[in-house]
Amino acid sequence: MSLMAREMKASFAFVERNFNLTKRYWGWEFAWLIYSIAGALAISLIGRSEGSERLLLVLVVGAIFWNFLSLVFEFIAETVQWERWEGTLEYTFMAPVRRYAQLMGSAIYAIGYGLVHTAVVLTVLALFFQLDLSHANFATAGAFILLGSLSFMGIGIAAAILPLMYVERGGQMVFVIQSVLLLVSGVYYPISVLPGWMQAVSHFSPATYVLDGVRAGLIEGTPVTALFGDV
Amino acid sequence: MTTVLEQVNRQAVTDLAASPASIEGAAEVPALLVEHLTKRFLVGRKRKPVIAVNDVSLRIRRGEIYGILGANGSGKSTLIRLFSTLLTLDSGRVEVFGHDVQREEMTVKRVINRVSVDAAFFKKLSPHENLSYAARLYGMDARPAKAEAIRILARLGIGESRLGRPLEQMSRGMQQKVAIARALLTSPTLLLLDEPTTGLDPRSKLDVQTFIEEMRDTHDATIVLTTWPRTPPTVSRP
Repeated sequence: MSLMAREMKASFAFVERNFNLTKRYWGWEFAWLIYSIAGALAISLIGRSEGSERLLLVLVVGAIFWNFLSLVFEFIAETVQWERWEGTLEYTFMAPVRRYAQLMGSAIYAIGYGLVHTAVVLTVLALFFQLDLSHANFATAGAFILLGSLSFMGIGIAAAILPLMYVERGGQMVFVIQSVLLLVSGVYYPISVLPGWMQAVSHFSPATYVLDGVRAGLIEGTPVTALFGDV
Repeated sequence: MTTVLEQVNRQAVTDLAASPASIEGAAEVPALLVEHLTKRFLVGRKRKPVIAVNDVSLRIRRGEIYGILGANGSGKSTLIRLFSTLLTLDSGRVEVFGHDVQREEMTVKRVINRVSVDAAFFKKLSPHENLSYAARLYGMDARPAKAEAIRILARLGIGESRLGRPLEQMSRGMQQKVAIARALLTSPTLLLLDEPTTGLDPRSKLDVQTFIEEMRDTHDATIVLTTWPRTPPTVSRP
């Protein structure tokens, strides 16, 4: 069997395993989905209370797409940590599988899982708020989601190494990285309200550009060609 | 510092040296060759070095079932982890069928498998799901792997009807049998068993022992087995 075919098969092992785990933990998956919907609704209702349709859309996009990006990040970044909790890390590391095949399998599943999860939340919010997306440019939103997924895969893979390097503190470091990304990326507010040094940090977060691009596409219908700077 | 394990290994090497296929004279590539292997860990805040494996040498021929005896904490599991490519060597050399465990890590990984004292599984998943995962990791197709898993588990006394339930609903002994089946599924030519029958009842232990011997005979497997020196149980009435 060629190296590529072997590694693809190994990657699929992680996709299938994660799918089976999702099935087995279906109760928690359902609870988490309800929590995500409730959280997105709660934040978006601030926009409704202010009577601003634009603020409502800004918050809806922020809540939904941060949910997607953080799911992708968590799934990949916690790949190693998760196996440590389950006690299977040594078994997986002893198998003839390269680490990139493992991370690729986790990333593929994370994106698929994140897309399904996000689609459900988006559908519920669109129905709840009767959102008018007739002017939306879905191609722009799709392009930025794809770019954002790739960027967050990269950060997630880098973060996944932390629990290996720092057995006790690695998981906590991953959590801190995710928190900082949430704060500086303009998820619920424009980055212009941040202090100057935080604005400088926000330029290093891919989520800043993803959220700008998705908002421009869904709210203003901006084509992706007009957003090459953010790309 | 001299560990119990080191003493046991010295004895093992002495026994081998006395056999016709002595260390110097063997023409065949040994299944496992270990030369002056040492492993230290840095422990605690002061990172105090603790020697877990100290200058161990041994040579195991193809087809042997080789036992490593030692008390708790004597370094048996560390030794198995070093053979399994899970730890890096501080000094010395380990070769599996002539392949260096550090330079040819992937080649070594393809021919070995290990059963540890704790059955390392995704406990929410069923035996079938765990074994399917293992099969794919080792490049096997899921369908024939499932058929083989059913055969091995039946041989170890676990029926097909139990393969769909989460492992967390199985006893410790049953889980350990599934762990053994998972290791055998990939047909390793070097099987590392780290106290594999701990937690099994006498009949299950016998099942496993018989199957290991069968595996050695039918699959040309070499088996390294760690265990601790047992004393007879104290009973008030025979």
